[in-house]
This record gives sequence, structure tokens and C-alpha cells, in this order.
Amino acid sequence: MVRSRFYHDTFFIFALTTCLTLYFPGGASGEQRFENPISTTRHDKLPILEGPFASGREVTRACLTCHTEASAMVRRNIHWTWEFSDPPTGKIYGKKHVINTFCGSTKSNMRECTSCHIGFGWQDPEVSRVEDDMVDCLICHEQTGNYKKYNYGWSELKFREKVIKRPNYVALAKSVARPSRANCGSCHFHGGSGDGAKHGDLDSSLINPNGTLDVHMNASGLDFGCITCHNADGHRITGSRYVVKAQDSLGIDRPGKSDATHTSCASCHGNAPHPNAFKLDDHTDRVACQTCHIPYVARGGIETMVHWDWRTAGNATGNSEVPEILRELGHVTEKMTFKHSATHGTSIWAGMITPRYDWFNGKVEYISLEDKFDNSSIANINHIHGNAREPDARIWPFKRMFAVMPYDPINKTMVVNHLIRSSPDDNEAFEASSDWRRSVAAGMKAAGMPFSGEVGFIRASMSFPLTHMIAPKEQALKCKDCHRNGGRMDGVEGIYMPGRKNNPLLHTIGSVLVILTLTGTLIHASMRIFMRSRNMKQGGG
Amino acid sequence: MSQYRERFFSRYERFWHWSQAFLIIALIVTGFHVTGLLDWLEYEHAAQWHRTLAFSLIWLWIFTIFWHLITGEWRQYIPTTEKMFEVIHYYSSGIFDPLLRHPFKKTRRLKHNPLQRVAYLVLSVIISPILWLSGLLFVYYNDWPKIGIPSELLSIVAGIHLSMAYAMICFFVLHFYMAFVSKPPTAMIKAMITGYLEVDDMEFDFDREYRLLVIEDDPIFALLIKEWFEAYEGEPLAPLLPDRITIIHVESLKKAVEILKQQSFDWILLDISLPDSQGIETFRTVKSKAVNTPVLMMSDMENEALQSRGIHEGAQDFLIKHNLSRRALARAFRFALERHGFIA
Repeated sequence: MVRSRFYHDTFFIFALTTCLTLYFPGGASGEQRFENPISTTRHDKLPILEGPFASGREVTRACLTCHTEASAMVRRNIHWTWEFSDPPTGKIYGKKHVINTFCGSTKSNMRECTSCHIGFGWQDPEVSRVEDDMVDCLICHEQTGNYKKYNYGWSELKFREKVIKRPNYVALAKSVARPSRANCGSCHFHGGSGDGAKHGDLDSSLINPNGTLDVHMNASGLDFGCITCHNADGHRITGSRYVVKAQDSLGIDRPGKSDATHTSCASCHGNAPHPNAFKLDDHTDRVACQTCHIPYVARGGIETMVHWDWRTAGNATGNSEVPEILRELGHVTEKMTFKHSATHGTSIWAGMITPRYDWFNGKVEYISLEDKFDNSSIANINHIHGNAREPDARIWPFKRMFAVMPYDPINKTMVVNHLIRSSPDDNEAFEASSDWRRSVAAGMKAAGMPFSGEVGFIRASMSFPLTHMIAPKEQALKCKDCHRNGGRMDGVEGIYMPGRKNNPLLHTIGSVLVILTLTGTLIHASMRIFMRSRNMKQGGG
Repeated sequence: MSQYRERFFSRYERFWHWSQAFLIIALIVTGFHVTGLLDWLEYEHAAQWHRTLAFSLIWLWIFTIFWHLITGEWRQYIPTTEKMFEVIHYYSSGIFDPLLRHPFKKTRRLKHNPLQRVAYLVLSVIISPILWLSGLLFVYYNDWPKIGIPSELLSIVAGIHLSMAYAMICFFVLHFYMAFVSKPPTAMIKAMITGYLEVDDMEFDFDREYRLLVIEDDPIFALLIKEWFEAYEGEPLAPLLPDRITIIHVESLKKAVEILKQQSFDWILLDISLPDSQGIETFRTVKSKAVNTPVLMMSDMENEALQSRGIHEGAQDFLIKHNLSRRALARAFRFALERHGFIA
């Protein structure tokens, strides 16, 4: 009795300690919260921001009185240039040049597209040359949430036409701070025609996310901003999608030993981030962190676009069939949303999609209008480089996006579709004429590319490497998600992966040998039994 | 023919055998999960168990190798060709005749027939070490660059591991079957559980006559031996010896040498004091004519120096005539046969 009491008490103390340890992992001191740096300047106290401001450009001029170099810095940034020179290929990428599976190209459509440009008046008739005050400080720095950009990034025309109410520039100017998630998201969450449309891991759910959606951005937790990782120095924002590092062998960044960007998991977590798990770190030589820690595409409750069929543009109704290619790739969910508009055709949207996995070495090559395609197969708009033999390549998760896009069947090239009116009396745009030949001719003319006059359609695909919306570790993929036949890695080639049936030949040979051995013993055994029974009969007789 | 239970497998051997059997079966099952053939268990658990079991097996083997070295039992695995053909012949045809016996007599000292020796040797120096080595490489895959192995070889290492796993399964199937080929079929299983094997007391072939050569110049003593072993009416000798033994008696070394040129015997009982030869020389002459026959020396009086000399030179025993009884002599014959079996 005394003894069992002793055990009982010991167990109770042990259990209590365990529970406490689990509940307060950091010990008595508790967890230290990440805090936003507090600026030495309160902009609402600055007399110069009392205005009055008649336009955004006037606000910028006020900003530049103190931040004298800011405009020049911004104008070297890709947010301004929309151009990126890819050093290995010498190709020129950037929003101004690349083709995508959404609206196709910004060329000839700048009126709409430049509502995401960081300046005022990209093609504004009143602007003839670039000046310092044409950088829009507010779109990235204002914190009221009441600021939006319009055509050509310039709202003056609409303000004058009284279509849109002129914002309170003083209030906007006084609110400025380091860019929040909402600032970046005002463009990056809405690329490709709407909230969440393009990337599959960026949408407005990240403005105020919980810890389930993103452990780092968790608004009531670590509360990271975009710029926590996309750290900027002199308005040079790091971590462009044109310079992806598929793996960061440098590991944890420290002053003096840093690649100057925190846009890799290893920048903070290092390359052996699972100290207490026997096998997990063994994956980092071949598997990107994102692969296990981003279990689904579009996890935030907002759907992303997976298919855009331009053939139905101009029609009153669209189609409502899930295309075969999505089924083949398993890029489908039970519930998919179909949207149709007469000017834009039919799009399919879905959330919580299983990503597609592939090798990726960080290099993405984009096609140009000069590349030839045959519309009997699917045209890859951006080609993801990397394979199992490259030591720097990792298995990454991708959102795949498909489209049926206008195409020049004679010249065998992709085309620019002049979709958006550049002015109210522009009748060549597709939204005005619904005439593919007219709008493509206008688009190709603006791009300076030859056009045969014929418009066909081509199936195209695009891959978006996923890297945002990092799930908490409890929701990361489990071993069995990949280590089995028919698992997530089934399409990934060139690597031995336990759990999916490798070496089928070896299995066949092995099984045959085992079966032969088994058969041999069975024959031997039955002969023994037979001979014994015969012998016993003879003995009996 | 009577049987008795011989302690055949020590406690450690049985512990080793059954824990190894359990580990190997569990490793096969979890291994098939890891390779993607089974999915009863979650991969994570299967892989974890596969590792744990494998490390347990390696530890077990470290202990067992130590045990084999300390006890000298490793000699059981030295390969031999002796009786190999007979054993193969037995398993391929003789076994089907319930009356035929295994050509190899298992004893505690020689547990494995030549075929088993080869099979266990292949298992312990080829299949198992390759399995562990490839398995350990597999587990420590990420440290390969440190020791200069290119990671691309993973699929090759995995292939080797898998091949050896299939070899292990084949071995396991055969081993499992062979456990039941003893007569009766469950004898070996019982022995591996209890440690005791039902052993035929003495595998005398009763169709054959057992022959004793008595080299003795005293006719009375020779007659006594004959009475004891050829026509005794009293207590039977079985299971110690066959009840009837054919006895040839010669009075001199010269005659003994002559008869040894023509005939073979199961024992030679030698009085070292003969008219034509005395002392150790008598033994040397006889032994040189019957190298493979156990020789029991005999004399009238104790002479410890001579006795030791005789045993040293290969005699099976040195008996003092006036101490002998029938039973004691029968025992000496039996023991000589047993010992001689090991030496030959």
C-alpha cells in the first residue's frame, strides 16, 4: 500500500512536470515577442506634411525634402523599371516584357496594368519626361488603407472627371511607415486579374493572417511583414522571383556572412533546422523547405486561378467543364469556381489544391514573342530549370496554371492581345470589339512583332514556385504523404525515394527467387509426406 | 534403441536464435513498407521501427560474435567438404526413405552438417554484413559527402540492400523448412525451444558386426573378454554398446600386425606386455597399423609415466587389468568410440 502510494505520487509529480514543460517550453522567462522597430520620426508631427497637397506628386515632393535620395533609389528598382536583365541568358524579363497565362502581356494594355506601377503617369499624356516626384511614395508607405491607384498609376484624369473622389493626401502622408503586408499586397495579392489569382501563395488573406495560415506572419504571433524577409536596403527590395535561390547553402545570415537577403528559410533557420528529428534534416540536400511546409496551394480561403480559357471571350456564356489537363495533374479540388465574362472568357478558381512537385534550381526561363510553338502540345510559358543531377536543385512545390490563349497559327508564335482600351475612343481593343483579329493585330503592332492576321488558340501552362503561406509544423507534410506509391512525389524523377516502389526489376527477380525457393521446399515436403505414407502402407501390409 | 535428451543449445544460443528470428521477420515486414510494397503501417512508423530493429540486430550480433569467440563456438562454422556429398545425397533422395538416417550425426560439439556450415557461413559473412553495411550507409546518407561517397549512389546502395533482403528471405524460407526435416519433424524446433535434443542414444548399426581385436598373451584373460562381450547372459549393455561384439584374439604383436593388414576393427584392446614386444613400442607398432582405430592399452600394474605416455601418443585409454569389470570395460569402449569420433 505504502509502496503503491509512493509510485502514485512519483508519477503525479513526473506528469505535472512534463505538462508544465510542454506548456511553457521557453521556461519561466516566457517567449520574447518580435517587435516592429520604432522610428525616430513621427511623420504626423512634421509640418511639411500638413499640406495642402493637390496631388500625389506634391506629397512625393514633400517626402523628398528629407529623403533626398529616395526617388533615385526607387527608380533603379524593378518596381519602377519593370525590367530585369537575366545575366546568364542575356534575356530581358520584367513585367514590361514577359508573357503570362493570364492577360498575356502588358504591351498595349498599359492603361490597366500600370495601376500597379510604383509611379505616377506611366503614359500620362501630360507627362513627357521622368521627374523625381513621379515616384509614388504613398502606395508603399501609407497606412490608412484608403489609397488606390488607377489607370497609368495616375488618377488625375479620373479625379478631374469626378469618377473617383480625390483622397485626403494629408492624412495619407501623415500615416507613412515601413511597408506593411497590406502595402505590398495592394499589388502583389491582386496580380493576374484579382485577389489571389496569380501566385497561389499570395492573396489578401495574408493582410491579417492567423498562425495556421502563416506561422511567421501570424498577426497575433510573430507578425512578420513582407519586408522582414524581403529586407530592403536603399529601396532595393531583395528576393525577386527572377533571382530565386532554390537552396541557400550559406545558411544563417550574420553580419559579415550574409547574402544580404533573408528570403530563404535557411537565412534564419540554417540548413539543419530539425535538431530533434532523426531523418528530417537528411531531406534538406534534395527537398526544399517549402515542399513540406506549404502543404497546399491557396491555403487562406481565397481561391487562386488554375485555368483561363480565352476561347469563350466574346461569348455570353462560358464552359463549365474541368479541363482534362487539370485532372491529369491532380490539380483539382472538389469545389472549383467557374467565372465567366464576355471580355475575359472563362476562368477556373480553386483553393487548397495539392501542389505539383518538380526539380528547381532557381532558374526560370520565360518565353518571348519570337519563340515558335506548335499548338498540338502545351506551350510552357515559363520553363522551370533543374534536375536531380544538379546539386543545387531541390524538389519544390508549384502552383500550375493553364490557359487556352490566342496564338498565331501561321507564324507559330504567342501573340499580344490588345485587351484594354488605351483611351475611351480606342475601338481596336478586345473589350471594345470582341474581334480577335483586330485586337491581336493592334497588340502585335504595339509590340513591334509580325502578325499573320490569323488567330488560333494554344494551350499554355505556367508554373509558380510556392514559398509563402508557411504552415505550422503540425500541418507540414507527413512522411507518408510522399513515401508511398501514388504519393505526392510520384511525378518527381531521378531520385531514389524510399516508400515508393523503386527498382521494379529487382523486386521481380527477388520475388521469383523467393517463390522458387518456396516451391522447392513445398515439392520436397510433399515428396516426404507421400513417401512416408507409402512406406507406412507397405509396412502395414 | 533408446533415446535420451541431450542439452544441445545453450540458453544464450536460444535467446540469440529466437530474438534474431523475431528481429529478422519484423525487419522484413517493416522493410517491405520502406521499399513501398506494403502499406499496413504508416511509412513513418515502419521506417522508425526498421531502424530500431536493425540497430537491435546489430547489437545482438556484436554480443553473439563475442559469445562465439569466448566459447569457441565459432569453430562450428568452419566450412568443410567432409561428408558434403553424402549430406546432399541424403537431402535429395535418402530423406524420402523414412528408415534412412542422416549421414551426419549431430552432437553438441558438431552441431552443423557440412551443408549447414556453408549456408550459415554465407549468411554470416556475406548476406548479413552486406545488409548492415548498406543499411547503415542508407541511414547515414547525409554524411556521405564527408566520407567521399557520391550521393547518386543511393539507389545502388538501396538496390544492394534490397537484393540482400531477398537473399535473406530465401534463406529464411529454406531455414524454416529445414527446421522440419529432422526425424521426427519437430525435433529441432523443440530443441531450439527447450535446449534439449532427443538424441538416439548410440547410433549403432545393428546390421553390421562390431569387431574387437584383443591382443593378449594371457589366454584366460582373453577368454574372460570373450565371455563378457560375445555370450553374456546377464545384464544387457545397450544403450552403452551393442550386446554382441565379435572378438578376434591374437597372442603376439606379430600376429596382430598380420591380422591388422587384412581386417579392420572398431576397437583394439592391447596388452602392452607381449612375448615379442614390451612397453610403448608395442603400442606404436599397433597404432601405426591401425591409424583410425581406437586403441585401448592395458597392463598388469600401475605405471603412471607409461600411462601418460600412451595417452600422449594417441591411445584412447590405459586400463589396469585387475581393476576391470565388464561394465567398466564397456564404458571404456563406448567412451573411446565417442572420443575417437571427434578426433578422426
